[in-house]
Amino acid sequence: MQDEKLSSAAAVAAPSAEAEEPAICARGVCLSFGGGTVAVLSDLDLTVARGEKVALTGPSGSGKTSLLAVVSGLLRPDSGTVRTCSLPVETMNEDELAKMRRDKIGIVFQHFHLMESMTALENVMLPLELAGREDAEEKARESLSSVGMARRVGHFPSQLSGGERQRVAIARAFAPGPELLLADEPTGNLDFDTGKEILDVLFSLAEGGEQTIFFITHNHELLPRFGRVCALRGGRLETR
Amino acid sequence: MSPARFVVRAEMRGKKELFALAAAAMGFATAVLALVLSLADSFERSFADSARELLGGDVSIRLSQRDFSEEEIEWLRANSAGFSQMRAARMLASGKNGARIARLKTADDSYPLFGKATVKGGGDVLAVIGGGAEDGIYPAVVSEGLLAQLSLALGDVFSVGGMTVSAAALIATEPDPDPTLILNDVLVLVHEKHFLAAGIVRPGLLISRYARVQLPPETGEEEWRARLEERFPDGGWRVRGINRALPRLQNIVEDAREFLALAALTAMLIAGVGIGGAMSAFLSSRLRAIAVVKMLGGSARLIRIIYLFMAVFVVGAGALAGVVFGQAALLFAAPKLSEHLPLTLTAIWSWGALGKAMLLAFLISAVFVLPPVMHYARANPLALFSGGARADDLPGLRAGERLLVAGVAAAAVVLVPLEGDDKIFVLGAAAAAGTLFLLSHLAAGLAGKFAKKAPPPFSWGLLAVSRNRRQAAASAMSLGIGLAALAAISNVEGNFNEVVEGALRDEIPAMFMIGVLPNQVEGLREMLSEADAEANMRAVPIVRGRITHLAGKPVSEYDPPQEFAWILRGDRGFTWSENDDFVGENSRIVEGEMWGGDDNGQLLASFDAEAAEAFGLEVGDAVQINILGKPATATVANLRLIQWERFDINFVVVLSRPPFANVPHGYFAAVRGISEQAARRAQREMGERFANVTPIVSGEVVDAAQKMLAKIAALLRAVTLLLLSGAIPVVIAALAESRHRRLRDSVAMRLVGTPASGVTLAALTELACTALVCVLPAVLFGMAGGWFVIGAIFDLPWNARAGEAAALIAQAVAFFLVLGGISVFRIVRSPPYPLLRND
Repeated sequence: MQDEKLSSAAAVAAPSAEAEEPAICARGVCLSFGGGTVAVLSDLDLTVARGEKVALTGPSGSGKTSLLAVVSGLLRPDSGTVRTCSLPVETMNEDELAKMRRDKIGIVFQHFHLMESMTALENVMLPLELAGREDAEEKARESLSSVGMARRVGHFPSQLSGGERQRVAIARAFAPGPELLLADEPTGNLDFDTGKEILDVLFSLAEGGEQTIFFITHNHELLPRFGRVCALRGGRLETR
Repeated sequence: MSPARFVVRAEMRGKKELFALAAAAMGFATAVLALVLSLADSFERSFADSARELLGGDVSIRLSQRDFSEEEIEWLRANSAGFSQMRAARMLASGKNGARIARLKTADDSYPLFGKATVKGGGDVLAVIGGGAEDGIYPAVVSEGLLAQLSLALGDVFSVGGMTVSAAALIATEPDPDPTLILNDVLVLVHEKHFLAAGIVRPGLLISRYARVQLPPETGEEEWRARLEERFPDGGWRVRGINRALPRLQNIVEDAREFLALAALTAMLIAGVGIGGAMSAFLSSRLRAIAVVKMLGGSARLIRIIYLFMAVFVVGAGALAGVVFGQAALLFAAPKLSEHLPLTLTAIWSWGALGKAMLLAFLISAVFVLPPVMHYARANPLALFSGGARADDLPGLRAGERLLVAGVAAAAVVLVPLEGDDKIFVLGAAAAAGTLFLLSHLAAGLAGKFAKKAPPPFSWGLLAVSRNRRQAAASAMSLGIGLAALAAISNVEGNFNEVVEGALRDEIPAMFMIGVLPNQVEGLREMLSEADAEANMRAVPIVRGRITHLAGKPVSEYDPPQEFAWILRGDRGFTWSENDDFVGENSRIVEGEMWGGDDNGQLLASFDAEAAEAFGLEVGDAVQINILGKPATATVANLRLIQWERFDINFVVVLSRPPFANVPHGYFAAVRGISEQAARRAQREMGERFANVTPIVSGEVVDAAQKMLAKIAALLRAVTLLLLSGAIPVVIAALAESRHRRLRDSVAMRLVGTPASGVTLAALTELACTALVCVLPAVLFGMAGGWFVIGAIFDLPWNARAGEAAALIAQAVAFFLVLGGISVFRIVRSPPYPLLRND
């Protein structure tokens, strides 16, 4: 059931063209809530090249998370076009979007969002199982090992510290080998040192796999590590 | 491993207890339904396998009042491969230690046509009863019941209907028991030739004659009966084939099957509500997990598959265990039941019944599980960005999804193993459950209003009930049906007992007498006056016959409601009176006029008004009756509204004079004013002086009726308790699901400095109030049901019996407190840190 083919719209991008296309390409994106009464994104343009590490900042309520949701296909913009990993997000149906997230995107949250009923290993295996990967356990162990959690594979989230939970969440996001990693303040719930460690882990994994990172953070001390920093104000992006 | 199985395996972890409880509830209901359906199928097979023995032939023909004519017997012999005659009557058996009504049966030398009639210790019944009489004492085979009730031993001499017999042997196997028989009875079996020789057969006695026929080879029953009907169109007999070998027991089995199947289906409904509630609560707690799976690329379809698979696993495990248990119970119960029944009940593996029970378990569960699964499959991973997902944000079901649920419900109703009309009861039970849900929902809402006036921590408990009213209402729906039934049964039984102990014992005649011959009436009156000077006997003539036509139409073409069908079905008593003896306080004319003396020789009839309405009979219509093979036609002169519950002597049909001249008839008598002791003395004396008369002392009948009522109430209570025990796992599951919320609340309370006693009080207040909103509407509902039965249906005085209701409420609340209290004390004792760290 997870092997559904993407629609013709989604399959437009040929491999050769993909390589040239940016990881994220948004044009004239408008998004509002409350039937148009609260404008969140206004005519927003964004391009993130493949392999680029971009940080997104902005005050609370500025629309950072909404932009992440639009890019991942969890929110549909009112207008404008969004291409994520060469796929036309705004024209894809729910199943195609789910498949895109499964195959091409990894997401890391501030609140970890691990499955409490699953061990660390099973949590990391989950996206691989959903993709029908036969090497799910092997890949999951590798991924956990790469975030330093090889000895905690059989532990449940409730038995792990906050930093450890976030490591498992990162391992889960990276295990399927996504082209794009979206991170929504993954260090927001952690102390500075642990947050720095998490970022080290994340960057080391991304560099090895040449993944694109689009990273929301409030922590200005982390910004120097990103190739580009964007700020969201009044629904539009400003690049520093 | 498929993604669905991978997730299911993890999701089932740690939820074993909750799912085991849900499975237990469904398993219990499935077991009862499987047992009931398989038992009914086993009865059907056993009836079919031994139908010829039970009936005594391929066809049984019964006549009342008259003997078979020579011509009829000749035809029956000529048109059969085997032929046997017997007689049966209810007669007073009296010995030195008392008197009891016995079943007297005769057998001829061909008895039995099928099967074997044997006595205990070995030997054939005919060998015992066929022997000669000694000093006017005839040999009889008797049942153990007779020896016990008359305190007799084998060899003792006693009298039955004026015939002196000796208890020569005990019956071991009687292949053709009384067709009206349910359980073993008081039997006296004598030879036909002795019965005739004893000279006790007189006109007016209620004796049934049976002719049993073995059909000739290659002859079908329908064809043979058609030939009989063609040859003797006015035979006036009742013919039964092998499909109605034991009609009374077959009817009881059918009624019991319907009733118990209804109870099992209600239990299934309760379990379905429970499983649906448990699944809803479980999914609510898994909302974030669902969103995570969807965020990682799982589709809504995958989510539905995951949780429906879990439901199928839980329901399947319960239902499978249920059918296994149900079948095992059948295998165990069948031999035990056979000991008390007139046939050998063979347990069969009825795959159809077991399959139907399982399928219904799945369908009914699906009705309650599909909505939450489809609802929660909509969880939006977007919510994960803001910390989690909330059920309130999810949209309702789509039209197509509602249609699917309705379709599954319709399939379940189609499959329900009840007769057409009885299916309405299932819908009624569902409507009652829905009403209880709404009432409890409202009551829980009211608790919130009281919270503002109550001091903490009581107010916290009340608020918790109000905010979780859906959970309380779901528990009420599960428990409510059983509790309402329990309250209704207690109310009806209590009110009936009040009526029996009060008005009934005072109003009912002290004694009835059946089979009084015309020349015995005055002698009896005299004897009763000697027994008690206040005795006042009323005797009316009675002749037995049957109604053949109403308004010119054969009664076979009528299909009246069940409560009036008996009037047309077979023989019944007719009486006559030239004046208005049958008109009075308890029987008044509502249409037409009472006859005077100027009927110009026309035979007139007064008909029961309610029965006439059921048959569409009006004043001026003709009623044709057949008495002793002779037809007589009467014109309906009036309709009487009869209060049968007053127990006065009355008849559906009262004629203006005897149906024809010199009709052989007896008398039916009722005695008032006589004390119960005097009635019992008179009963014993009748055994000696009027042996053919069957006296019935009302006090004994009322006692028996009260015992019967108590037994029925006990049976209904047992069924209701089964329903309630099915609801208990549902309530436990609901309490278990709310445990996490209570734990969170208690941690929050303790963090702000509430002492343990305060936390306990708040939780206990919540439990007690939850119990009240579950129990109170149900008990009130049950009391209303009691009023409906007593006041509306039976038109008897109704008492609310508030004390009983209050006791039931107190017991139910105590039950809740015990079940939930254990959890409360655990919560109070659990350390808050793990929750604070992980939640």
